[in-house]
Amino acid sequence: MITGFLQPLVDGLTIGVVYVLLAAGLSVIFGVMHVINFAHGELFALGAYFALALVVPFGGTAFFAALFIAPLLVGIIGVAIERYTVRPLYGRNPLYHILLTFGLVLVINDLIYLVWQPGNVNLPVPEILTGTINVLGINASVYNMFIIVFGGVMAFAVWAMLEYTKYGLIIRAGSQDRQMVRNLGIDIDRYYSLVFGMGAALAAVAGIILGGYQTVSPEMGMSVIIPAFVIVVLGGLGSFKGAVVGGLLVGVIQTVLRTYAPIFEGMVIFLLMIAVLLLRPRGLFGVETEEEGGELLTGSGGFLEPQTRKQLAIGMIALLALVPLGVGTLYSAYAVTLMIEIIIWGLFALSLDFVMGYTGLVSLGHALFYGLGAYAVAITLLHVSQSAFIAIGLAIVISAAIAWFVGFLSIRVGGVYFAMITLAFAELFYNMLYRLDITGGSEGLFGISTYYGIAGMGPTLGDIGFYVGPVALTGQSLFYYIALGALIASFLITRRMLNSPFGSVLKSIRENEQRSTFIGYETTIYKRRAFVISGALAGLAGGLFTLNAGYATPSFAYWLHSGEVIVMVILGGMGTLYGPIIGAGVFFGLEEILTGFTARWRLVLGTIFVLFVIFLPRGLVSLPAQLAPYVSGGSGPGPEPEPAPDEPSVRGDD
Amino acid sequence: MAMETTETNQRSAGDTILETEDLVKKFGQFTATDRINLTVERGEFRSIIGPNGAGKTTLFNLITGALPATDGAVYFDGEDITSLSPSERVRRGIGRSFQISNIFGGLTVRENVRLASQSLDRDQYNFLQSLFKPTGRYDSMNERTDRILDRIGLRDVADETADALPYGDKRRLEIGVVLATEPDLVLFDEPTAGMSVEETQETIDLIEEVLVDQTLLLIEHDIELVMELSDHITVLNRGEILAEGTPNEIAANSDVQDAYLGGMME
Amino acid sequence: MTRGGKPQGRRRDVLKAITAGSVAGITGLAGCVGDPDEMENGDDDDFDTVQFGVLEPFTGEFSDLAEERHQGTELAIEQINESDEYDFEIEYDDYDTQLDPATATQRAEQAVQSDGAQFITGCISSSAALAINDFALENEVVYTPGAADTSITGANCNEYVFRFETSTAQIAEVMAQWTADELGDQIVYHIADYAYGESVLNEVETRMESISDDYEQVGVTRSDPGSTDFEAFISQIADVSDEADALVVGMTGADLAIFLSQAGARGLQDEIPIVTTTGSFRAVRAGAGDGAYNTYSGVRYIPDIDTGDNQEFVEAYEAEYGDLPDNFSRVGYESIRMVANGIREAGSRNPSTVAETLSGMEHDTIFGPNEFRECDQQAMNPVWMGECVEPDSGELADVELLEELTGEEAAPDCEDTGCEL
Repeated sequence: MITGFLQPLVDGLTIGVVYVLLAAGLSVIFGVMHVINFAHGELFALGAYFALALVVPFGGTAFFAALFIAPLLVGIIGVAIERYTVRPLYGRNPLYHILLTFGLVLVINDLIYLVWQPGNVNLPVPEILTGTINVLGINASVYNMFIIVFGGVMAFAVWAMLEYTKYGLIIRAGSQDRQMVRNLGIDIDRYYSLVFGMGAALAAVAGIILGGYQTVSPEMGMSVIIPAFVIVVLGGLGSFKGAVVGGLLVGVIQTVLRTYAPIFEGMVIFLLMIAVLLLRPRGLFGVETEEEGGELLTGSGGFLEPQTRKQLAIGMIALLALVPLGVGTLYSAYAVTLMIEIIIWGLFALSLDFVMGYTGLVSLGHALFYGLGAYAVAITLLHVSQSAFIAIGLAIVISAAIAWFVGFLSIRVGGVYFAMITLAFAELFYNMLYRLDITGGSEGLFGISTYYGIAGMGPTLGDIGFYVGPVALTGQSLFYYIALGALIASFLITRRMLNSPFGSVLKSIRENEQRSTFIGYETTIYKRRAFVISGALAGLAGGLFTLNAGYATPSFAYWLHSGEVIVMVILGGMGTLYGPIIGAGVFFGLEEILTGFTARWRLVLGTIFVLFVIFLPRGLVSLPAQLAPYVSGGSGPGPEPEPAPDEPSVRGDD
Repeated sequence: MAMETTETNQRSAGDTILETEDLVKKFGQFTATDRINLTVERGEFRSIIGPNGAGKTTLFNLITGALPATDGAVYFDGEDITSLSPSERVRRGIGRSFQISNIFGGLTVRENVRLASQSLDRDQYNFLQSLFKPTGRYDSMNERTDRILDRIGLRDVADETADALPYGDKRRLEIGVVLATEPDLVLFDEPTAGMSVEETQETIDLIEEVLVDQTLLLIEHDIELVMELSDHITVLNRGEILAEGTPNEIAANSDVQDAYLGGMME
Repeated sequence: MTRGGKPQGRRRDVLKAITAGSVAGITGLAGCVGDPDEMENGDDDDFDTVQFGVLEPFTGEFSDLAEERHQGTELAIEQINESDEYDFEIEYDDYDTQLDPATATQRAEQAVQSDGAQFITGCISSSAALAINDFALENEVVYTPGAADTSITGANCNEYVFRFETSTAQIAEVMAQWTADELGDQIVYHIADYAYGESVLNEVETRMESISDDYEQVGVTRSDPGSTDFEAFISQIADVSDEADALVVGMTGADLAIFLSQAGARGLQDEIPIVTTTGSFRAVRAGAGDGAYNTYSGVRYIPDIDTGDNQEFVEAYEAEYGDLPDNFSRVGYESIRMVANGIREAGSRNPSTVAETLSGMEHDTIFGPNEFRECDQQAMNPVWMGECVEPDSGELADVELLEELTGEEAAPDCEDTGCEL
């Protein structure tokens, strides 16, 4: 199979140009506003669907009109999103953008499902753009050529606008140093809507031209958002040049590898990103600036009085311990099943909070450790020993070891870069699970059984029953106590750690990492240790799941799960340990209730997230404090959602 | 990831505590400090003055390790510390106070000081202890913390959140935090910036009182204050040392007079 | 979507009722260990309703297929409830499995434990279906999956799983025979690099090898599942199109639609015949647009066929939903009908009893006489080879049938399935 080198180059440029358009907007939004916009992919899909709505009734030639009208409409939506949802969040912890745009993804995606039919639809293109041309032995479709030329012109136009207009100058300056632009007396916030709208319009253009090339489907946004982020980070946040070079580079390398070394195809962008970030921690074209780009801030601690908290905790545990006893009388056995899910995810969320809430390391790849724990248990039970204790022990040890390794490589980069590098590791792992025989490939491992003992001695949960009065506790109910015990133990251990010298350093890092360094702490080492503990706990969570469910599939390590667990942590309240557990409960509780009510539950859930971020920005644990004035007597304060002084937004920089 | 340098490049120390040798820092094309040779004697009160952009803060960042040097070396107690991490330098005895009040705002006053105190003897307990033994049970650390709280006069408000302190007390706390690391050399970057006259006086008194045994390196804009306090003064201009000497010598130095001092004292 | 919650015949409730009297303190294993399995569910022959749990990926990538399958399921339930031939009514709840096996089992648990389902049906993706396979065995409920993965009624089969969906092995049989006869035995493959693609490759290869001594694999290219850009593969395939007689594509869903669409734009169909496993699905034809024209595909089902009572099904379906059924609709439809026949025959709604009855039982289906054969409980469906051609009007390609294999001919030998029942 010999293919000329030119052919993959042309093929690679086709997809590369689409990446450029997609990443350019994302990068500028990222750079100027520090918004991690997960919804960018949905705006991309929306562009394709608007075009579809125009092309289908009017035929192929309407394609050209759609190419301008649809991006305009998406641009207007972008402006609206910025004005009504993103704007209220400026000056707050950028992490909330993750929750916000995550909510927007659910909302927009579900609206697409609602308005258009699910499934892949062909976006007809005009006659003139069909057929193939054959030049110099390269066989390319006319449409590919159109993509390269049109996309190239668009990218050039954007570059010219950034380079030669006043707006462009301000936007470029803003992505370098926001504060400096403000100091010059320019109200940069006014330009945010414009930037957001422009980014959205560019994404829409990318969606349309790619839609004509592939097909249009509601899932298309999901499938491009991760590569787009990778390209943005690869090129350097806020750098248009970076987006161009990164986009073309990834497009071409992916295509060339597909021809010559297909095994690496899915992994190459992640390997590339890890390599680049390790050598150039700010991406290819990112520059070292006084204002640290991509800084993600951390949690703000608890809100309840310690005494109240302790009483509440004991009450909660007592209540939780009673749950299985009500099966059959108050509710069905499903309540226990649901609670097990919540407990396991609560443990997972707690593990993330330990690094995210206390050291500011936002891991966008925590599903890696969850999956690792699950597979470690599965493989141990299948091949090594059927003892649950040995399997769980190994899961914890292996997760901790891999966490040390990932932490060793990742913690040297900060903020958004750390998030992306952990994402890359998780995606590599996800890819690996797909390919290896020992992990059962894409299907995963099934039919796993265990016993609770060691060296062949011990019962399986299905064999024993505890009889408490009239209630029998068997199988699921027994496992419920095992999971609950693991959660409580993990909570107590991590809480104890936070009161130790080690933990007080973590808290000091959360408060002010620079000061922590200058009283003599090598903060990197502390962060890495916290990451190891966090990874071990996440592995425990994943291991418990597989122990109970009896299977493990690659989806455990899918990046969406990493996103979901971040959502749970933010939902509950960062830096509290107990907040994320509540967050997990609320997340699953909402899903449980909403799926029962309406098929459009993702729309509702997304809307709740958006409203939540805007009106209750510090998590559910802040709810009592916010409600207190209203409860304790009439004159509550105005609708000021957030007491400003506690927000850890002051970061000393010299 | 501090790499312990085994190299003990002993300089003829005498009573020199800090020495920089041709220290250069470049940001791209811009040279922030240009071959700075600074020597500070033990016990000395040295001030660094100079106009904005003279390279004072950059010099501090190079001495404390916040920035890696482009070229040149830093010697502390006669040892080459150029490649050591900031935290390692702190452990060797270099303490630092910042321009902006730089404390752990969300933690209590006591925890602020205790953290610094803990940093001092963190090698005295094992790994498991450091993970699991509550901070309240480390007696020597807590005693030292209380002593320092007394010295900076914040014992009464020890259990309040640092953010809740008035501005002056925050500066006191920061000095306490620096003090708790038991430094031999303390670098102060404008410790009285933004303070009223009384607050400035109180802070200076405090520094003189609690840090009487330490070598002090001070960046300060208030020339009168500098003249009053310093043993020696180093004048920086455009990344280079313009002049060095006692307050009287500096006041009399015609270069400094003509080119700089007059303008600054307008 | 209603939530019934009728607690009848659930294992754990029965268990609780029986052991209610036996009080034991938690003083140590010896004192309180019992064996829950001693309390087997007694046959329950006096009943008016049976509870089904319908598990489909209503949200996410497969939601269109889920909807398609669900309409078939609903239609069957409606017909059974109106019919006098069945003296029970089917009640059911819907559950959204999304795309994730973990969510699928969670929902299955909800169906069984909370809503008292004795029978579950659904799931499009293989890994979700495999997870439910295990679940069905563990919870002793009858499951009729919607995925084509060979191992569901192969290595991972169990006595509670009955599949009306045509397996990849059955489709591979007709594809291999027809391709060898009509196109040749020099084959290049393009597959998605996961279980489905690999199983297509394996199934087609083993059959090609046994059909033709001269069979040769000219090459294999693999793309990641979920890929959206096949240009590089198309270039490589075009390079060997002179040596190969046919391209066999082991992909499905969006992957296949996008592949065909891009192959069409590059004119690959003119260079080499393209043979697919699921190109006859309406969803794929719709996604591929004119890229589907002049390609060949194994056919699990099209509404046109005239077997059994298929035409009555098609009429009823069209009357109900204003649209023709497709593959997944008929799977949902007939899965319910066959299980209902089993319940009627067994005179019990106890899943274990029904499962014993269903195995090897004769049914009249839309494919004519059919059965879940005893050795693997896979339905003996006929399979066809078809060609997707340009339609007389509109964009959507038509499917023309070229060849048929009977259920007997298409089914793999029992010894070869890997299933030990």
